[in-house]
Amino acid sequence: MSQPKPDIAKHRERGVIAPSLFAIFTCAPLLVLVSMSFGVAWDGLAPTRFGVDNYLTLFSTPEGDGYDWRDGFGANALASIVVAIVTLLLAIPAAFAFARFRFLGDRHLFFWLLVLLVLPGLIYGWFWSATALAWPRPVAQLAVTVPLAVWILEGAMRRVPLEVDETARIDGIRPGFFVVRLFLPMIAAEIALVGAVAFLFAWGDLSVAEIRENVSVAARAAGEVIRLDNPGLAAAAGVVMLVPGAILLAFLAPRLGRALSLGRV
Amino acid sequence: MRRSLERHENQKAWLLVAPAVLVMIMVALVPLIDLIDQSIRAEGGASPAQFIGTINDPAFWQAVGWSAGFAAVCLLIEIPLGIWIAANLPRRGPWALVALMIVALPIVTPLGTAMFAWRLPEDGLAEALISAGVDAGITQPIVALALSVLVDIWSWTSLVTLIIYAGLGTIPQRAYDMARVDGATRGQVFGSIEWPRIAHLVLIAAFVRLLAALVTPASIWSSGVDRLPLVSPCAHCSVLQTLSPPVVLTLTVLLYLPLAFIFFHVLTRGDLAPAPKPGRAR
Repeated sequence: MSQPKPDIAKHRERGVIAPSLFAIFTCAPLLVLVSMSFGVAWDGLAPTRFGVDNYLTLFSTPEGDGYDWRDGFGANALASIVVAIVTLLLAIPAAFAFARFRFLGDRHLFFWLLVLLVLPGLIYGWFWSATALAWPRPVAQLAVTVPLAVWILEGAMRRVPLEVDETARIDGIRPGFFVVRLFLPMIAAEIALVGAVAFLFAWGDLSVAEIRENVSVAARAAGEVIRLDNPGLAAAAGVVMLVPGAILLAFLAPRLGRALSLGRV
Repeated sequence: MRRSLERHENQKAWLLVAPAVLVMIMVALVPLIDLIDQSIRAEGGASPAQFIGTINDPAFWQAVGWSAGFAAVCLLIEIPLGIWIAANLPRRGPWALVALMIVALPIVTPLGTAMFAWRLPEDGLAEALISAGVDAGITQPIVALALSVLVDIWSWTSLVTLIIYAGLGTIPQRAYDMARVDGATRGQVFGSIEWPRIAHLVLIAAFVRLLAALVTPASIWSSGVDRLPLVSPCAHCSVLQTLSPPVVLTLTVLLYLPLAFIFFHVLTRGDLAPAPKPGRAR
């Protein structure tokens, strides 16, 4: 005699209406943006004819036309990748030290990293945009991404039990080999997550662009989205800026909660 | 017998943090020190006169009030809404990832794109919303502020939702099964199973939001400036024009130190207790 199985699939009484309404609210502005980006002819702000001309214009950069958005786009991508790589190179050893060792002043240092992380990014942008640096924005961004990465990665490393280290030590595995070949692969997903978060932060950040216009090519791509005078062109630029995040979304979405809580889930 | 392991004391760990610390001193601490230096600098040597002037300026306190009000309203809406959405998101099945991706969309939207999407040049979505409802211009501070709240909800409710959703994911299915056998209602499940697991995360999410909302530069208006003579003593340029920026920013730093201190203890509270052994509690 078999008992009827409890209907597990049904038992979590989750609403459908709440997430649906929220999804509509979330998508609405972006759908308007996408539809505008395909607008070619305009009646006021309502597109009357659709086409991909805006995207072609963005990436063709006619000589002397005034749009150097394509250069900004490339520079922005390069700068963001550099920020992500430098952030990881600095943050991984630091997070390992915080997660695995006690040393003089460790908690103080950890606290001050948090302070620098939560302070308004404007402070850094303000200082660096006033310098003669050709590329002040990536420098200012490191002030935010490095502490953020250290905190998230420390949380990830802390979740790997210390017994793992102990076992490796007893087995006579060299510490360097252990960290690089065994320990870091265990948190590879979190490292990728932190890299993606740092990249996306650098990609869309305006902290310098807002303060001093046209401060560098890299800042322009992000900032000019809202300044291009042709609405269709600006919408297309906005959509293109959204692409890296949208591509990373399938990987990011399930893990983002961990990063946003500074690795404390 | 198991002996819980402790982190080793090893001063050489400083070598691991040294590169990050050096870079942070250069990129973050130097601007901070420069800021404080500027804030006390006056003609004829260091002087606190600028501080006294700013603190006695009603415009400063008005901006502080608006910022605090803005942050309070945002938090009061975003935190409950975020928890509610997270509790109702599908956990498995084909829609789980799709729903999560839609929720995460505003987080990955660059600020410039979000600003443009909400405030298309001349009259965009935001102004369309107003003209549909109120007979008031977008330049009215209270209307502008209400729209800023709306955009903030759009941008950052997802943050709360994603954090809480991740926390709910740590609850074993068995807990739900047992609750079902006991005939618990949805409310009881939330109160006795879900809330204890997410309470800590709600606090973290609230702090993350608070620290950001206090200095939200009312993003969508930044390109227009001067339309919103309020919000955030430190972040909004139009306030900075009338007050001394270094002084206002230094005061902001002073405000943030105690907040960061409390936040630090909220974040590390779980670290001091011995970590639960994986596989035991489940």
